[in-house]
Amino acid sequence: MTEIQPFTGFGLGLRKNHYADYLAGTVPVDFVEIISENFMVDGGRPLFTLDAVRERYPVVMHGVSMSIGSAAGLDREYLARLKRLADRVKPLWVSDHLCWTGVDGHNTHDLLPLPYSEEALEIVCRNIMQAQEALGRPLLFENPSSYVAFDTDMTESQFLAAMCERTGCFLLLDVNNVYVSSVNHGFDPIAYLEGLPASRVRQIHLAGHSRGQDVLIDTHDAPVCADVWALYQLACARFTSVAAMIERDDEIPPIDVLLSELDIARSLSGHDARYAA
Amino acid sequence: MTLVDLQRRFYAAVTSPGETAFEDWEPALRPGLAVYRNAYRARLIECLRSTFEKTWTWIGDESFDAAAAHHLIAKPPRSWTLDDAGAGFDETLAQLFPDDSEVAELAWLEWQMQQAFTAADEPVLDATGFAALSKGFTEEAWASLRLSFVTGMRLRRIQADCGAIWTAIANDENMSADVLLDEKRSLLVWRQGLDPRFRMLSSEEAVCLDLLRNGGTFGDMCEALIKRLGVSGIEEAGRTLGVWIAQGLVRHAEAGV
Repeated sequence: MTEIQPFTGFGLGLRKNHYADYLAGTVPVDFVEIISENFMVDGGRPLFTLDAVRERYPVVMHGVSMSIGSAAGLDREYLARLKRLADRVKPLWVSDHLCWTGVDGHNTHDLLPLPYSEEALEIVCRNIMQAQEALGRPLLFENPSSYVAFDTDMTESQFLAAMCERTGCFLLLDVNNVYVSSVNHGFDPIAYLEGLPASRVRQIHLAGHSRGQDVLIDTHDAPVCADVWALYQLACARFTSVAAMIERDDEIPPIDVLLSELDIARSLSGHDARYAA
Repeated sequence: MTLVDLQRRFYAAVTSPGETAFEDWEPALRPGLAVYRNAYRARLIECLRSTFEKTWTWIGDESFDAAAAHHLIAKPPRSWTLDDAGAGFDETLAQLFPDDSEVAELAWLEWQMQQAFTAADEPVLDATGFAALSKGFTEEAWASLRLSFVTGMRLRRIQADCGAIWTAIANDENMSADVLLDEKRSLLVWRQGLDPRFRMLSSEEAVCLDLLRNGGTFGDMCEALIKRLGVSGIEEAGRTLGVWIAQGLVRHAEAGV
């Protein structure tokens, strides 16, 4: 339960608008990412569709509800359902976010920011160990976009590095989230990348964001911007054994538009993958 | 401040109803808190709009969003899945629209259709299976036949023709505001194969279904229909059984127990 083999491909998220394309098996991607919670159901068409997609593509599972930073601990029923789905899908890996989603049994269904303190690190690491034990596999955790930063002991990249060292978990680097948070909180995104343990990064997310009244907001409703592409190039130079993908959750265009964007990711990455040949 | 205290304080700020300036927070944190707070309300109202799309169409943006905001305060989400945010929304609407029963009934129908969509897969008894099972049945065996129905099946008494509202909205047709039924009827929701279905039952079929779901036999069902329809009751019993099997409602059948 200590290793996740690197997978250097290019993929997209599985979204309803594109189910027919994936079921036809004609989408030239190396892997497909699913939102775990969309398929943690008892039965019916979602699982039927997922099984059919899985026959055609490698799949990675990406969750939004583990709440690994919850001070009250993890939801055992959630972990059991996630394990059942992972046993069915046999994904390349399972990921979630460095965040918390609720407290005292309530859930905001948002990825809320943690203070990067020693106490939070201890709680997060304890939760990660519990989740990895429950799922019988190491997990990946994604750096979140944040709109609030607390005055604490560590930077986010220091927190992530310590988390990996203490628990053996891996990282999903969301380059857009680094950019959004760096603008919102005024830190150096390149120093952030340099602070991450290169050997623990297994996947990269790319996405678009929007400009709110006071902050950048991670909306996943637009193409990747030039600044994020530039940061992605730097990330690719540092993290060479990673899978990369475009996330789009709103204003979802036809699959060809996303594939063109994925071609940019492929060409900027500097390493080949199956569909790059 | 401990992490749990911070999380409680943050949760309260993000989910508090009404407008707030976050005056008990540091000024630098307030714009960000407003983003989380707006996102909380927008995400959950969007989720309810998506789950109850036809109810939203029926009552309009303003009424629906007000009802959704009320629901989030009355029943804040507790489940790990956002899909559960709509649980009990029909009850919320029944309180808010006490004189318009179709609103809560339409929301119930939409909720149950969604539940049926992801209900557990289970084998059903099809016509071929039933023919093999009942081959050579004696009259006594037929009379003793008991059925188990699929577990995802749901039944509710309704006062308004919410099924007709559903169909009219789905087909983008106009619907009369006069939707009350002459008498209460039963609405059935289930999944046939991968597709959720609903239909309104005749009063006879509702009696039969109620009887067999509560341990009655096919013989009891024939007797009930003979009382209501006379000798044609037996033919109607056979026809109704055939419909249940054809529509994937029957999970298991057993005679002689």
